[in-house]
Amino acid sequence: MVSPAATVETRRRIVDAAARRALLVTLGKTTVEEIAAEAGVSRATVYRWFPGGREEIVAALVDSQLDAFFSDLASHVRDAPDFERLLVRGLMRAHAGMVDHRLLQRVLDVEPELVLPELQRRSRSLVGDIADFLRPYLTTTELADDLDVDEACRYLARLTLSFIGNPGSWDLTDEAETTRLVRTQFLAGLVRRP
Amino acid sequence: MAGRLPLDPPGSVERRIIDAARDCCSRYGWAKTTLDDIARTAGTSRATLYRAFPGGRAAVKAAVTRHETVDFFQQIESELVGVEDIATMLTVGLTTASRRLADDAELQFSLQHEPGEVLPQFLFRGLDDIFSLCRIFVAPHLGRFLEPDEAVAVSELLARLVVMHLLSPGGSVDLTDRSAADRFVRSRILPGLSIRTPAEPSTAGGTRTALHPSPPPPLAASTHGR
Repeated sequence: MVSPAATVETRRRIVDAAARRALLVTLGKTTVEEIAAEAGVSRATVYRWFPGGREEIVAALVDSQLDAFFSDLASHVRDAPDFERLLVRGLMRAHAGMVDHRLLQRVLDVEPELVLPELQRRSRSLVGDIADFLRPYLTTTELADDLDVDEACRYLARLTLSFIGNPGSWDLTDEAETTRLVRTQFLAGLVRRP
Repeated sequence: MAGRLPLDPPGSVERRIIDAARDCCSRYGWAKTTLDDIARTAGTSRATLYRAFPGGRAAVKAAVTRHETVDFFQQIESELVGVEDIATMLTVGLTTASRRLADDAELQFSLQHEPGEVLPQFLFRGLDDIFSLCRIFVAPHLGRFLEPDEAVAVSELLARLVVMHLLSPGGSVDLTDRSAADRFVRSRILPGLSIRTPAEPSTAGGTRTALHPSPPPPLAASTHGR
């Protein structure tokens, strides 16, 4: 009888093995057999956890990476003194996290076609999660009249994802510049003006 | 003009192959389109195709993307020429771009059936190329109303908004709708800009509301009314 902890651990080992294959070779050229060997489990065990094979493992890998990325982000910004600081901190942290993310940078280099559809598929729920996170902070701010708060939160979430993906000409390692970005392109149209 | 990327002239072999490739892809997608299909549709031989595009399939695909992108930005630019105020310019830019992408059969087919073929153009590093083209084609027009740095920043913002709209059309604002786009521009973009207003009598800050490049005032103290 295998304990539940051990089985969850097996699943995690398989996903970790896929991450190592992505770093060392490519996911596109990696077979289920190779992932099984890397994880030290049998092919049958892999299929028990991931009946869909490699595609399902890649999906689980994307999920686990996104979870880790955004929970780090949430804990980093949670105690920001106000909404503006929260967005500034979040953008700077997320940008740094992106640049340092070896696995993401690797797949963007060698096989973006494999992982971008997975990320895109999650963008809708990601936008919803980020919007839910932002809402209580936004409502502590003085808002423009007639602002649709739910819509505004989703807009900020989508904009945030866009800047995490590519900062364009903005230097998101510079706090003053990131603050200027947040004031002009994120908040100017949402907050109350005198 | 410096920095301009010319299109292959209509009637050239390259152009016929590019048009044929687009035609095939909007019907079958990239994955199911072969070089033979493209050559046949273009009314040319496989050998001629390889002479024009020695890199084969990848080269044809790159040429199609480049052609589409340059043609796209030239159209946007032609709509921006002569626009007399910044709100209209931003609205025209957003609606022209969003409508064209919504009507692009090849792009829509790929997004739906083979997203891995096209998403790399629009996400992460793919935006680098789009931003550079914005700097060439869009920012100079915005520069009639904004300082150069701000014009670049706003041209990038427009690109982000169009891409966001393309990839999740269920979003809150329908940018293909002129009046919805206009409301969006006035409520969301204009308040963040420091617009040059040469026609207005000078105020304490001179002929422009000198917010740039120093940071605008903090929350709830922006200087622009709607």
